[in-house]
Amino acid sequence: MNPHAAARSAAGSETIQVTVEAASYIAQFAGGTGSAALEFVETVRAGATVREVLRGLTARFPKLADVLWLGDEIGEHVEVAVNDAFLGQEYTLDSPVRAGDRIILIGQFTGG
Amino acid sequence: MAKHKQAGAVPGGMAGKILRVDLGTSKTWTTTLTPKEARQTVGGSGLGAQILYDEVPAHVNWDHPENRLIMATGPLAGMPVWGTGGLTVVTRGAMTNGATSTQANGFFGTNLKYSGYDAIVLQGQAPDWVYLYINDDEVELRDARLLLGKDTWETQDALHEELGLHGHRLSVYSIGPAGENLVRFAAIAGDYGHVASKNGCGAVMGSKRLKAVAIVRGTRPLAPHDAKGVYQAADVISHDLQTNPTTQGLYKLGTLSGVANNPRLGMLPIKNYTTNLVDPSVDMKTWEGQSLRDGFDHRGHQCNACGMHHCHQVVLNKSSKYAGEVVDEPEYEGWSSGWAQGITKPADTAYLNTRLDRACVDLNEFGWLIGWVMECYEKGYLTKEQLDGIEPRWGDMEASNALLQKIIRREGVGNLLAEGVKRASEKIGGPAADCAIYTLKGNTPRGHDHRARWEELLDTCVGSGGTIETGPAVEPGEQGRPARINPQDPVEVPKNVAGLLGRRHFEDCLGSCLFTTRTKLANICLAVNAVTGWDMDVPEAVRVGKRVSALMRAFNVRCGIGPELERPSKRYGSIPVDGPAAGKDSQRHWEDMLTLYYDIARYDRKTGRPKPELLQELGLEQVSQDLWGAT
Repeated sequence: MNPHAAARSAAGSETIQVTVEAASYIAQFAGGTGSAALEFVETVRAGATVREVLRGLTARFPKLADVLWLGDEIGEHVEVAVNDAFLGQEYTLDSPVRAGDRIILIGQFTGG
Repeated sequence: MAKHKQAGAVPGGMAGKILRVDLGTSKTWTTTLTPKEARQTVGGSGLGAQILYDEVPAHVNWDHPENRLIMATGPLAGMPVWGTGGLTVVTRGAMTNGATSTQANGFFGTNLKYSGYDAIVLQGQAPDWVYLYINDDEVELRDARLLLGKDTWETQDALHEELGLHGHRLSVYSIGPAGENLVRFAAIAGDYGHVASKNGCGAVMGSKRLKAVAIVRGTRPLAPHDAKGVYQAADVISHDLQTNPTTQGLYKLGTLSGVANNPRLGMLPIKNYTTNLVDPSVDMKTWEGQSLRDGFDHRGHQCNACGMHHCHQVVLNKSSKYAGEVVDEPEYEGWSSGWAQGITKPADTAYLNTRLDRACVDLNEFGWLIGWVMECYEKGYLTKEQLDGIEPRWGDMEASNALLQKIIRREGVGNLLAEGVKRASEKIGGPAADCAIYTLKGNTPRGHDHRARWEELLDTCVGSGGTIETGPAVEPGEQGRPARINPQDPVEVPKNVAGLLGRRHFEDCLGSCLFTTRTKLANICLAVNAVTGWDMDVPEAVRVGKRVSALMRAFNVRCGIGPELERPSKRYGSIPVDGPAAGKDSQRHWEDMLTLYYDIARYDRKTGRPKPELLQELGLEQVSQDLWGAT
């Protein structure tokens, strides 16, 4: 397991685990060097939303706030995909996650 | 605060002069740019689009001597703002036979301004091959016959030697064999690794028998309106580029990170769109941005005044049979062009990328073309015999290079492939035609799988300059759009593509790199105003960009390029069979997306023409009159 991976207890009787991957340079805002992806196994209460998962991660890595959030919405700097689908397709920020879901944070799309 | 310029004065930082060259008669002269024209067009693509519309009528096709090849820069060129050696090429291009706006960097724009010109407008066709030499007022067409056959790096070497000028004292933009032989997707390349690549602008240059433009770093004074203000604005911009989360990655690694990121979103084009899954045998860790950078000995290869760690040259490592050769570090799109051909070894792609630059070939088009050839060969639609004995299997860089060498000389099958993937696939026909990636206008996409990114798919198809014209969202809040959207939302996508129109064209007016303008438009306006003495704000900047778009669209409509061509080929618009975007069908929504785009952009849905009220709002009354008559 990645040394940065975390399994955290959450309040409430029933918990589930989801994985959050911070890809490439986004990882530098979550304790990494920015040169390789990091994975975090997040333990959250059953019924927790995508937003709660990401807020929880942001609470542990405050630098993520600047890159990930614009007020209550995801900022323009990051693409968020849940189980390979962009936010707005199968999931919104307020959709409940399921055990085993995988959230990916990837730097904004550029060309060149 | 410094006073604004008096009416009638040339804006600060601008030369106020356009160099005109008739290659047919060898006559050169200059025209002046009035302050009003300067403010309306700004420079670069704005200036070029105006000249193209005014001077190239519908019957003048891309290879007609009266076509114009406009090489323009803008007010920021030569200023101490990051990435400001910019060149914009505007012409009627060979791929679409329509308007073209394509950019490159290095030092061309800087040297041109220091020689006292904002732009060069080339017309006519030389009786024999020449190159254009510019050193302040010394402007000459010189014999280029000894340069024929040389690639763009060799041409630059030869001119550096001939003229006794080295480094940035001489900027050379030239065509290689592909341009000489009118390969339809030939580019114009310069300063060892910078390429104006889109819409066959190098074929236009070749049709004029112009091998190169060589500009000595001139001695003309270039005074900004408010020098202190320029430095302050440059500081604001560079600080933002270094600290803004969006651009930190670009600042450190350029676009390298895209290769490892894009498969996660279904956006890396793999094997001509036949799959979106990376073969498990490929170690994607070697494709992380930092790994690509560290995988080779490298050194910075910055453009004028640039502090980004973006452009690099690298030495091919031991994994390559060409170990030791110095090549340009590919951009994301260079790497992805390799992936479109199934090439998954970085050293192979790095080698091929520089072969393309040196030959002056658009690497995007080349990727789609050879990816198509490889798929057709695998499926038996093209045979070894048809391919002159070459057996192009997925990932075979040597086969790609062998085909490249045939294409740039139009030898054997290369003569067919030199027409580009649209025309070649139409000629072969049958099931092979269904495998080709292009727009019906004749251009091809940037280096992504746009079936997962409908903004770029729509933008590529409706863009009027031979490529995208809105581009990825940058600070979309400034233009009233949300921070992010679902890139497969059929309503939000056209809202973004039309709603963010203008910004990118404005950037292309400035003589700067679009990677160093990835900051708030308000910051860019700070720099432009300090240089020129204007009081431009964000709405005016966007209006300038929309004016460019409307002019190029009007030009295209006049040339018969209408809405019926604004759609993808069958493969380009197909449904991904696997990966993150599997099953997503953009074409189910295409007509609705086009309708909404046209409505927001204020283009006529039936004819594609910009509407009269838009044209009048943009100060294009004559265009309105031309397209719509008296209203």
